[in-house]
Amino acid sequence: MTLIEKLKNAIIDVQPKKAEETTHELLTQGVGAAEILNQALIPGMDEVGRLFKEGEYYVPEVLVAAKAMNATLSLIEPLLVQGGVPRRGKIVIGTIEGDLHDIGKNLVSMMLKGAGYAIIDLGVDVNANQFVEAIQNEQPDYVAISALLTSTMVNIPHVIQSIRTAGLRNRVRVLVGGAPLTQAYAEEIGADGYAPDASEAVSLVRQMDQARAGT
Amino acid sequence: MFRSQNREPDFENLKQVLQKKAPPRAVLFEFLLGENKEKRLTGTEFRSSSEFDRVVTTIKAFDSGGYDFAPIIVRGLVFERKSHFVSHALTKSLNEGSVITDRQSFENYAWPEIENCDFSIISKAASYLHPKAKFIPFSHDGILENVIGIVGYERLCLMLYEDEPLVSAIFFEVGKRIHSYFKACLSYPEVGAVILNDDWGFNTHTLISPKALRKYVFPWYKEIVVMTHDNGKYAILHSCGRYDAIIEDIIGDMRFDARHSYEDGITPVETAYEALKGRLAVLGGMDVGFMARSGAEEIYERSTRMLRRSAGLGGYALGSGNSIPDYIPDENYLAMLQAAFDWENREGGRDDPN
Repeated sequence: MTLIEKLKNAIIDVQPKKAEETTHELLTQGVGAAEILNQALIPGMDEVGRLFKEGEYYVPEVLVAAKAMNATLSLIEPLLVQGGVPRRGKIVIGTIEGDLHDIGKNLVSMMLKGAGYAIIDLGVDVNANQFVEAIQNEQPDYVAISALLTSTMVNIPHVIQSIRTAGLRNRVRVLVGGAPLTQAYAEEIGADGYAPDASEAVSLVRQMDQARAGT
Repeated sequence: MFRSQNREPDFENLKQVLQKKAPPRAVLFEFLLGENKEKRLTGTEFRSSSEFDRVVTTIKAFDSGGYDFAPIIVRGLVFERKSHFVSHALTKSLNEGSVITDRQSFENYAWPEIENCDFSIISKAASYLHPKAKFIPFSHDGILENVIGIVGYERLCLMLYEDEPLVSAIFFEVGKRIHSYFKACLSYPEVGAVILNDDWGFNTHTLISPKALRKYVFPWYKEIVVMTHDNGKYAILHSCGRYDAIIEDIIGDMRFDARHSYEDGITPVETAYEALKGRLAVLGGMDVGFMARSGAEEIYERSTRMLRRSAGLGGYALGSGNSIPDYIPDENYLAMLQAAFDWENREGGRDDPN
């Protein structure tokens, strides 16, 4: 087994310490940060996402795998920046105003980070102005908004309207998710995409990236 | 009084449902009613100035609504946790708690004692209960909910991998207290069943793996259900979230009599009933979002269809998928009750009303 495979397996087998040690070994041997990212980290988290989707993994396994991913990422991130390796895209994410629910949002953040995207996490209880401000400052490719209740998801259209009013709607794609949301609701409020869970969120963003690259 | 005088509360009706049999009339089940709903059902009899007043109001609201029981909680067993209060927020995070972070904070934690609970409220309040109705006690959150409350969800997830002995110790301390709570409740003759309320999942998964649930959570409930049955009473599970990976544990291992909490986004109650009928009583199931957003007529019709579906085999009581929060319009909630009242007027409730 190569060291790259060993690192990938450490992530899949939810072993943060082993992931960190293996990353050190890889860097000592002169393996590039981009290779570690693309050959071990992203495929490893993809497999974790697949296992979660198929019901073999649960949130604890995803969180510990994400910890393993972060152990690697913290070591290679400065090298990626130094080497000018571009991230796949930037995503601003937050839980909608009135809602303190963060677990789903955190899972989506981790999976997208594991898929190679830069994540700007605005936290919970985020209002329309804060989303607009983050878009202006961070210039993300996507804005992802989460809600837990039917009584809080009704604030999402206000955010979309505020983005439109600020003249930013054509610059960013709006993704929505959370227990009460559906594809039909996403379409009704004018969102660009909906994902029912964290692994689907990764697939959705990748599909949208491909579609955008193709146009 | 919203129910008719002819529809007298009688726990025997719910008992038939819990035995997976067809009751002689439509049976209603609800776990919790919002305060405004209790006001609507009790009218001038509504009182809330003391804990005892609130218990009596709930008894009267459930009587007025046509239920054969009243839920009751005995205060005092509260596992203290940190709370990040945000005045305009409508939800809270499962990560909020986090008072036990390691072995030292576990040792220092002020565990609530069962002696803080005054169980005599059950017999004192019984004088307000209809003579044929029974109490169904529930606790201030269940075993997993309380552990998540004091540890924090994401911290618990990591702790499961990083400090398994500490996880075991925390579940033991919470589990033995919840067990003692229900043991005390079951000693009262006014109690007909218990609601073991513990959310184990969300819309796509259980919160922790079935393997972890089997190790830390289910053994406690198995013991509580055995104790309940030994007392000649019934055990109702109220647990939100996806349950298909653990349904055989619920039926075959823990041997619950009934399950409550169904969501259209996970398993609509109609599908759940077809899968579970004859093995586990199905309670409620009118999705809360559906009840909040639909018209009263639509709710009446779906309720009637569900009563029709279950009329032959039984093992079903009509109610919401979770509870009746105040954001469900009154007329929508009352339409569901009316469907039950109208059903029993139709030739023993067995014929197709259409």
